[in-house]
Amino acid sequence: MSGDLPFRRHLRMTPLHSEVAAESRTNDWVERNGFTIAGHLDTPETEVFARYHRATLADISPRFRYRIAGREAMDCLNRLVTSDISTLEEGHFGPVAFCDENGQLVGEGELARIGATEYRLFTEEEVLSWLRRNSTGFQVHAEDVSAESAGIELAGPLAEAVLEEAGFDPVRLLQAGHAQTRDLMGMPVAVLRHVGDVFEFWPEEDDAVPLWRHLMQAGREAGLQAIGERTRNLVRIDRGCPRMGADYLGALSAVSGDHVRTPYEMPGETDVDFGKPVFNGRAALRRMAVQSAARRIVALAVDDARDLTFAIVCKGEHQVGVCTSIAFMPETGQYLAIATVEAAACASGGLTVETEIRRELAVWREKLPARIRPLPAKR
Amino acid sequence: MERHDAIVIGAGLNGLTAAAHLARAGLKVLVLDRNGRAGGTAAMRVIAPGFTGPAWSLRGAVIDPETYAGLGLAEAGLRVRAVDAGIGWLGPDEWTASLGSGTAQRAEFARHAREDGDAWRRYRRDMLRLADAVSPSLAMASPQPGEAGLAAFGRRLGFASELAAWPRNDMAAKLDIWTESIATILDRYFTSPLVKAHLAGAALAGATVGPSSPMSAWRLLVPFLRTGADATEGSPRLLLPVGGTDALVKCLAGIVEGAGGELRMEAEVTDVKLRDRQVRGVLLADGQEIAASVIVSDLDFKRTILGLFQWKDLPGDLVEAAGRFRMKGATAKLNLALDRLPRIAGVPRDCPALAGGLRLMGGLAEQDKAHARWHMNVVPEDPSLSVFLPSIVDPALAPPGKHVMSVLVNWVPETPHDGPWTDEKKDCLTAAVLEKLEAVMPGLREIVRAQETWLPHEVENETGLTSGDLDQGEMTLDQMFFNRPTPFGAPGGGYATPLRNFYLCSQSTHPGALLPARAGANTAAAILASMKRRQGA
Repeated sequence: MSGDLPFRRHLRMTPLHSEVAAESRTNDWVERNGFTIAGHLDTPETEVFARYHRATLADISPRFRYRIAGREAMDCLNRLVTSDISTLEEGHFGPVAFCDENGQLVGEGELARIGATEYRLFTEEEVLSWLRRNSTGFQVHAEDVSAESAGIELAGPLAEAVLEEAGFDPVRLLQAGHAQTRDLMGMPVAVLRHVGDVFEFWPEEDDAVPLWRHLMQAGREAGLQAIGERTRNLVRIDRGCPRMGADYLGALSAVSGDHVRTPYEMPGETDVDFGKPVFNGRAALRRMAVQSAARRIVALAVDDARDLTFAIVCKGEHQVGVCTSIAFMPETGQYLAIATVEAAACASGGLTVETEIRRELAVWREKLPARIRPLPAKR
Repeated sequence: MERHDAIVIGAGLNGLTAAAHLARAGLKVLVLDRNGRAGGTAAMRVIAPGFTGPAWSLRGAVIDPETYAGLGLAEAGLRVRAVDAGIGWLGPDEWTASLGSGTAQRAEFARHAREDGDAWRRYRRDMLRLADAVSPSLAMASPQPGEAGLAAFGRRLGFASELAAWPRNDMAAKLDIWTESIATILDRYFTSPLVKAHLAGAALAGATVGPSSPMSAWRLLVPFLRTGADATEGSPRLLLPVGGTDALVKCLAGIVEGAGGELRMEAEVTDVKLRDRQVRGVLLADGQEIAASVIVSDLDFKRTILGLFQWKDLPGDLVEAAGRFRMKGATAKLNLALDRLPRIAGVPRDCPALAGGLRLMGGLAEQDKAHARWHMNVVPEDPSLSVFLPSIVDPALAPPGKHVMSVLVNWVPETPHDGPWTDEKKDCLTAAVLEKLEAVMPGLREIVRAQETWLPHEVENETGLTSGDLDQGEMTLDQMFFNRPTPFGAPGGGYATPLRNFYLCSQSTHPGALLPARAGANTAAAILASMKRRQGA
């Protein structure tokens, strides 16, 4: 027991740690939600190429999973999220956002309907205490089931080929937006299929390693590459998806009100359904819906391939925003970023970023032009 | 006659901080203290040869960087250590810790109740928001309600517009922290009785209130008021000087002396010389008179007004206010010299939070009971203890491998209900404390090499602190902010007095125990601002 005391081990290992470590050529590790996970396992170029042209496997165990079950689970969840989930069918999942009473985002994630009265919620941040407080009065029970399973993400254009080779045809034939528990190699595994050939597997903790090994084996022909968090982060930035904790803060953890966001400040369209008579933050969101947001989260591109860092976004001489996530995209030779920018400054172009450029020991500043990138369809 | 720009009476941390800030601004400062060792209530003491620890207080000096900003303490040689803020212990399987890492803190609380880990984030957020709202008023003299003038009007206008901008639910939270009890606030966040007892215990060391007392909740805010409290996502760490109070005192004295000032120990001020309600100088116990343009008192408010002046020379309402100012002794102190580090039942030796101390105060109900018994002046049979081992933070405070233990016994009456303290009653209390420590740290008795117990009145005799009240005036809303020590209506908030050129800088003034030594820094700022105004006029 005492070996697991939190002060002893600030960071835990996921059930797949040893498997992932065996694939690592870099010994590069990062922290996510209290877990150690791989940063890069190979060179960034190799990983990125595999992700966009072949297939990749990643350990996504640190995401939080909650089981929400009970006779009134649907009514309860419909009170929490901004979209209408009464239309979510069994075996399907969809993106959800939930707000506090001021219309500020408390969390975002995916909600899967497992049965008539049972749901799974996948989030980036911990929300158990909030879920429990907000389910008072409903016949529903929320529990954290993160420790019961491990997460594996299979992604890339050849992902289906890997599944075929692995003998997982039922998974391969799954439609995007479906979440189903399948029997794979005699193990019950929850599978989610996202758009863009991304499959998530959630096997039980003990089944994670055999499943990972089987997929790695099956993907050998297709060039399946294990990747780390940094490449997954690049893909996220490329898709223009802000992450809570990095690009904005959850309303339960932000000390300053400046760092929380409303659904209307997010890129793309967050589903807010005013057809529902009651849900958290409805009144505040109703007011916001008719105003235009003063700032927006946008995706930026800086066309430069030198060794540089930046954060401040300017228009002319004035700072109009801040970059919160930045990654270098080797395939296009440009820096991609997620930034929060004043809405007025987004309209007419002319944005720059204040960069610090390094060459050996020399460091100098340069303002480089930045473009707002049009985004692919969300998720 | 000997003459100085400023005299500071009392070499406590507030006095020395004020002196250092005044010296840095170019004033020739003389600090006088009747004791042989500087540090006031935070002073250290040799408990046995080779063993040094905080004499009267639990931890001695705790550093708030902003209080000492601009003094150059690092250049003067001060080294500090940030330590996790302690352990709450109810039983070998029932203890929890304050940890600086956010991930570790959440996991630690989740160990006792799954959702309490997540609740920590919300609790921390709300405390930091409240701290942000209070902090500006800690950095200066508390604005006086009756204050006139354009600047005061501007401040009021600013406050009103800020008030109007608060969301309604936020406003409720901002009022609640000053009116509610600790237990009520903790119930809003946490479910585990242990987590609640741990946070309450940390907040209640040395307090005259209990967890269920109205207006106690602000105590939960104190750790979040220190500069840099938001640097970790876990519990704010304690910043302790390596070498304890003595190390800080040495640096501050060095700054005063470096600027041509002087620190004179064993020099007791018996009288402050007044002419036309303007102070002129001080009279020492040995008959020497020293003149100064400004005099600052680091003695508590009661002792300053009632002890340093002829009452007939003072405005009547000032004497009355000092008489009414509530100071209550609520703690006894045990200092132990130990042959080795004691083993704490159930707590691994390598738990980093141990450096911040150990609370043996029971659950909320026991804490309330202990407080209620104090109210009835009953000597505790099951004492409520705050424990700190300074030799963990700085091994040089004890011989190699040996340790010093500082034990603050909470809720100890100043005078027991059945008559004054006697040696027998004192021995009973000491025995009860040692028995409790032995139960938590089996084998402790065998490793105690030296021990001493200090009761509230003994602390008063040694330090001059009225009633041995470590807070230097009860910290309840009627004695806080613009009410601390009393609403004078004089410019300079509670630091200036109706006596020209005479200032107060002790913990009896705002912000009191909210931020240690901040009153000293604020007083220096008030004095310098007033001198600048006069020069300008």
